[in-house]
Amino acid sequence: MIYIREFIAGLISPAVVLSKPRFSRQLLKFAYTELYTSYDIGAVARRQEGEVREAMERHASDEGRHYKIFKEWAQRVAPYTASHNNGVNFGDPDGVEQPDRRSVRWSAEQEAAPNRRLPELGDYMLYIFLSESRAVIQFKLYQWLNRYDERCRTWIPSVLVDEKRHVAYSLHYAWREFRRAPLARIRGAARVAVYIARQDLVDLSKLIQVGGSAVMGSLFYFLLVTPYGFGLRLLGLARRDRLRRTETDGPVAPQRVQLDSTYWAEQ
Amino acid sequence: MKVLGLSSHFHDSAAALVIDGRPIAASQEERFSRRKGDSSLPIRAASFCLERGGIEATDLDAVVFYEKPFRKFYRIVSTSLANAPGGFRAFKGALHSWFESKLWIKSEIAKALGVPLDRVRFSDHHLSHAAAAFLTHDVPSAATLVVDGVGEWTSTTLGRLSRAEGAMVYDVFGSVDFPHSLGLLYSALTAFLGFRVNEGEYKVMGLAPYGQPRFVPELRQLIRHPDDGLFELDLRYFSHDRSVTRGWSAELERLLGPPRNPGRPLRLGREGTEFQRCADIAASLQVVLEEELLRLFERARELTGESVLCYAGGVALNCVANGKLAREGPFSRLLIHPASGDAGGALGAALAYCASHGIYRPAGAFSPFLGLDVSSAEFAGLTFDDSGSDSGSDSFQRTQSEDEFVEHVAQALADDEVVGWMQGGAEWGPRALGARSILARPDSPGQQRRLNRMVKHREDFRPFAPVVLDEWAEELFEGLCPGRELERHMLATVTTRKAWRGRLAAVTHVDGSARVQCLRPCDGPLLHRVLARFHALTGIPALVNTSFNDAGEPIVNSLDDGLRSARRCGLGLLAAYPHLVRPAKDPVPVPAESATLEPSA
Repeated sequence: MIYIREFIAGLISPAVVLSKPRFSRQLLKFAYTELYTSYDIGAVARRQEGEVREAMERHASDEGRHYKIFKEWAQRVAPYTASHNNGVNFGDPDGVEQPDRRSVRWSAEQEAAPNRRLPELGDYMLYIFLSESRAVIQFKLYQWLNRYDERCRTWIPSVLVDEKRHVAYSLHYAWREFRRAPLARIRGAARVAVYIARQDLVDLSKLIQVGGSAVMGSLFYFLLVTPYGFGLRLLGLARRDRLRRTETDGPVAPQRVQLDSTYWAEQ
Repeated sequence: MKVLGLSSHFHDSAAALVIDGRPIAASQEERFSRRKGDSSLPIRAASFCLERGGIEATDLDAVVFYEKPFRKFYRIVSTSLANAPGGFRAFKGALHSWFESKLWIKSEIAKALGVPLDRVRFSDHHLSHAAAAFLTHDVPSAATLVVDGVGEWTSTTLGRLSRAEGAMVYDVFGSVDFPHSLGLLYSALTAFLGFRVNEGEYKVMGLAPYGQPRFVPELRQLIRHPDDGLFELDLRYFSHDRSVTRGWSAELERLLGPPRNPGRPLRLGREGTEFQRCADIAASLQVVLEEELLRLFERARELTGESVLCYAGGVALNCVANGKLAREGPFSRLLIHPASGDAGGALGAALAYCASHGIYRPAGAFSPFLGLDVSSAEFAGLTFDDSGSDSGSDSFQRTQSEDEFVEHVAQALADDEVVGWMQGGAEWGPRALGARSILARPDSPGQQRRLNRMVKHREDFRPFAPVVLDEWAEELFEGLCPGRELERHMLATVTTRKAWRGRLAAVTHVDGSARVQCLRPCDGPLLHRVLARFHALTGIPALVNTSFNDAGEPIVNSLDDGLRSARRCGLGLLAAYPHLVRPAKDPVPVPAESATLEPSA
């Protein structure tokens, strides 16, 4: 069950790779996921000692490197999208995707950051193991289904090598922690499952929300806004260069704004 | 009267608390959330403000949002109608975000803060801006000019504010509506030059001195001047009303050539290179912007008859234009709020609400140090103790007196160390004014390059600003504004005197300009003492003063942020009285926005 999402994402990846802006955004999402993972693991690493700390620091460093790989890749695929489709604001930032926000659940600064929700090492390692093995599935499918793309063929394997190592070390420590306190870790596993299920549900609800509003928005726009807009333009009532006529058009006497309770109540 | 002002859902969300007309606390949300340009509802910043004010949300008389969302939505619908079927993507995106949260902002605020719905009030975007500039200065009346991207409808508003006994009086003399906007013109060209909108504008400003304004005739074609004495954009060259991702049209590319590929590094270059073309466009844009602003200033003077101008909005952060306009413009005094962008609207909205009830800020200079305080208690919670021992490999020392502290810091600076400086409440606004700053010696060879590459991890062409002892400002710089009001908050550029350019090489731009901060003892007594001691040691009464943050990171807020950033930036010393920390290098290499990979981000 837990791998279904990555499996589907991997299967539909050719459709993503074929569209440069979409692929660039996807790569940015990967990049920010790696970035926030590095923050999160770095935060946990600082609380550990010895070989666990070393392994986690190496993991954080790998994720930092992956961030740069994906970011650069996104830039190469579609420079404009990669640099500007997050935070562009020509009058309204509405609808602009912000990969860092979409990956916000990874942010170490957020309360929902894994290291804060799963403070015990055993739980955290299990979570890392599951997350990394999910990533391995997705990247393998990306590599396999998009062999015609040179970078998918050559760059993903370099990431996959690291991801497989992460799977191995996290499983090693998760198992070690399990052997130390089996009962506690079984309870921990339930916490991890709930945490991951919650994350996935949030993502699914966002997907439904975005998809639903896209469908409704398209219908509304083409069935209502477009004909109405055409009509207004034919009647000369809507002009691109003069969206509204105000009393202050042209040289006029000052208009006093009444700063009364009505003013402050109006939205 | 206790009023909380809020700005959010656009960029740079912020909260500000005003009690009986007096600003008590103010901060941007990004300082707490650590996400640059955070636009979410500023709950953490609001909580901080309430805590600083010692009150609960239920004690508030009003929570004032800095703009009127329904009016804004009306503009978006009107834009869609005028452009349909073009602009479908913009409409789709807008619909989603507006129906998701922006239309319900009143209930969202009430629910988040736990206040009754009828206490949530709404200001006008440009009134919030204008009020922030007017009500933080002691003038009975002034002309107001707000120039930004766009508020609800307007992108430029020309008016007058007056203090009256019962309530503040606001007269509007003229306005320019979306899609005509100098702010959006600047943003479109910022993106055209390969920088990120709402973040890269100051990079364009920093790039301009490297260029020649050879594109001025072309850029003048983008603007028309109707009879009302204001301006209009020639919309053939723009698409900001149809697209949320691209502000210019193919027509502009025919005029100026292709846009810069943002994926390619922008390196200081010779004639004929991409760098030079971009610098020339930036220089031309600066010239055209200054021409337009001067025209608006003259119109404001003519219509209002006032001799003082309160100038606000995002465009008022263009300190090169500010310096020129203060010196050459028609007003005897130019007043600008240190947070003149949208974040400042939170304070402006709260002050305007008080003023509309006849409650004004008590007379006296406005202090921008309204943010989170650095406290010794916070040190106790960090990873080392007071014994001077090294735990977590940061080396830590507690000084016994101010004299000892000042001596240590000044000596470190004289020894060419780069010092992270955290003192008192964090600054309100985008400039580091000596509360959260990185300080360095301004005369070391290659200091600018070193700081850009090694410390701030950003492009080589980016300039640094000086902080100078106020009493020495005239000696070092020329072209200071009257009363040095703008220089006090780093809001204008001046010219470094030729005799000092060698010793101020790191803070003097290629054209000899410097965005100086004139430091008075009242604005930072401890930093003033450090600067004076540094002067005694080196003969230079100025330091490099740049914001304390790494590339892509908001300015640090708490000591914990400062320590983490100091480790990442490789600072030699972190000074937060009475503590001195020699930070270890960050054990986990956190990827910063690299200048080589991504100069434009």
